[in-house]
Amino acid sequence: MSKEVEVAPTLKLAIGDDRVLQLTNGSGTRFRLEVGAQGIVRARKIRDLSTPPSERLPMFECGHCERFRIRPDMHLAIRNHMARLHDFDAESEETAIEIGRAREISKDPGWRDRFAWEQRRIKLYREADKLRIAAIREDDLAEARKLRRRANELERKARER
Amino acid sequence: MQEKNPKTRSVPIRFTPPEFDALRVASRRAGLSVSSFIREVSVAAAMQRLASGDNDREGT
Repeated sequence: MSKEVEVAPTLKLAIGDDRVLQLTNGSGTRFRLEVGAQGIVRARKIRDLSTPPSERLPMFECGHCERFRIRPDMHLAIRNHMARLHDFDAESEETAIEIGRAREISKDPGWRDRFAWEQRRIKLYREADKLRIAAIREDDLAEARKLRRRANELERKARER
Repeated sequence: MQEKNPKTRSVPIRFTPPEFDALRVASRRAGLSVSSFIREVSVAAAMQRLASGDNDREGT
């Protein structure tokens, strides 16, 4: 189990038993904290390693800066970004234009299909993880093997479309 | 782009199936591959031990 600490109104720090520190910002993007050379702490965005880059969902990119990329259906996060980073009010025309662009991306039926597939895939991986945890706790070796085999099947299913 | 500090050393390491299951689940939760996870966690633990001057063999 990991422990979550709120370090600022929109920042949450999760300290896992595995000692990997994770930071979640206001828009739900997760970052991993790494201590580099000379003890400099860097926050790296956590990539979804289970989806190949060609299959990742098209993202909304802020038209005013290059740093902000987010899922196009996260309108509140886009509004927050526009207000905090660019001083544009939630009701301003600039914000409306950005939200409109995001809406266009998520309206695309292709995006919806991929999003639904993505959700199914996440569910399959979660199921597989549960089976693996059950296999770790199982004393009966044959039963553990069965659970592991089922987890492998689910992971295989999650990898194919 | 070429990496500044290339990973040139490898360590063959064996795990039992339950150990590997635990690594797989934990690495997925951390958003890392199994090898990146092992590298990150083990190097962090090693650095911490070195920094604290920990000596497990003391008194043996």
